[in-house]
Amino acid sequence: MILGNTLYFLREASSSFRRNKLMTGAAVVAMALSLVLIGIFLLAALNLNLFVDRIRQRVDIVVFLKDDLVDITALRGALEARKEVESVTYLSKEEALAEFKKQLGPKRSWVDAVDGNPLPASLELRLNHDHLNSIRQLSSWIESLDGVEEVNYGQRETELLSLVVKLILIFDLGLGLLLGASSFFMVFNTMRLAIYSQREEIEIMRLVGATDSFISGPYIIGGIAQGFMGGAIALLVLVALYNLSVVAMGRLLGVPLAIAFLPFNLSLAVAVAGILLGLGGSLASIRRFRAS
Amino acid sequence: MIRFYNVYKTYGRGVHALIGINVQIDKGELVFLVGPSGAGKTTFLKMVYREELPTQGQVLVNRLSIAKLKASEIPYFRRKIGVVFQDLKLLSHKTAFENVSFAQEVIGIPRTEAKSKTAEILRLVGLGGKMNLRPDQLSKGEMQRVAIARAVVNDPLVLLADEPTGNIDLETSLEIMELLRGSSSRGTTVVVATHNREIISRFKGRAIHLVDGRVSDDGEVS
Repeated sequence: MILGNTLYFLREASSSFRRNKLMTGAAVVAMALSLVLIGIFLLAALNLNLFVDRIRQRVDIVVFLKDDLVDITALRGALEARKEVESVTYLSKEEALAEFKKQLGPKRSWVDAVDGNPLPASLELRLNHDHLNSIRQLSSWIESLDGVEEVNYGQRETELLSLVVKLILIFDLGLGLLLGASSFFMVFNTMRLAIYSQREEIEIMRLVGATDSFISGPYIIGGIAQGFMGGAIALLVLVALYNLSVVAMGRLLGVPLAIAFLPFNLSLAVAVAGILLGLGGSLASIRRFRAS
Repeated sequence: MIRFYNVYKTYGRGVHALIGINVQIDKGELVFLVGPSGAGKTTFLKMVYREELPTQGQVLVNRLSIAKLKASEIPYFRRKIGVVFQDLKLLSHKTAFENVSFAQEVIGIPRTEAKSKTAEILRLVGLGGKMNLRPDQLSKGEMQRVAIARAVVNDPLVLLADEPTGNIDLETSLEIMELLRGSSSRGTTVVVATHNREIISRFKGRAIHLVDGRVSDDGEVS
């Protein structure tokens, strides 16, 4: 009985597709397009976030020391005692200068012209990754310690990037809602037209005693199928766009790019979003006809 | 099988379709519902298959009060009632066969079973050779037979026919009536709404006369 019904629903849904080819096609394309746009912004946010994470991982706190500081060991001990700090490396004034000269390479001659060593000694802190978020508090605490000239960390840059990621995600969410709503209405309208064009069948079905769930079955299956197709097309387009852009940009920049694609669960979410939109659209249109 | 207790039906403001109807129709009876158009015949039938509810009074079908049926119970209730609609309501893009099998499939009867039953019932109404024709390829009388086939294919307890002989010549009308009588003789309660007095006088039997929503006469036509 259940199998029989399902077969009937599938038959009816596919014949409804064929009858309303244009509308159904348009709804599927609109949904795919919406999901592609949402996906592109998701990809952008995801990759930017990965980028920020990578920067964060490299970011250490650099504590520049006053030239008159004598007891480096005490300061170092205090820093090492913090649970956020994984390791502390001391860089003397001389080492700092040597490092600086090495970085400058051939342009180092002007440094040689300077008298003495203007660079401060420093302690470079490598942080525990679990505590990256408390970097700001840690920095201001270190700044208050004796003998500390200045504290430097990459926080400002990463904070800015994090903000950008957040903005993209918010924009993506807004865009998602807007495009999601429009896809929903496309499916809703397609289904409503299909229901309208089959109103005679539906009336007869009701009069001979078909249950509402039986009458709704083909439309629900149809909505799910439209959503699934929209989601699947969107995923394929995203994969294609991703591969094209990685190859194209890699060629442009001359280096292979480390851009990630959506992880499996997000890819699944794109497909599921399509299915849910389709299901929602068909359920809403069915509610309308049941009410009438 | 069908009982109307002091039934009133009022549409909108003050359009009285039925006024104080008291009627009892027993199992297996064949009853004519007679009266001019606008007398309330269709409203009467619509209450029996619960398309309309009484404004006042009670309608019982197979001992069930139609007003007390839950929405989820209505489909199952309707499966026991076959209706030949005034406008037939045949699907124009489906063949005679498909029209009849459709009515079975949508209530969950397996396809193979529906197919064999459809073929059997179409042969019974004399359309064995025209199963694959669409309504526009059939005559009025043949379309009427398809509608009857669809109404009786699920072995209903009650068969309602709204003007089944409208716009059909007398000879064909009598054939149609024979089909309905056949149903009744197999135990189905049959109610035929008609204003065709010729048919009634030829067939005899019980006739309920409706005039302006009231029962003006209820008795055997002699």
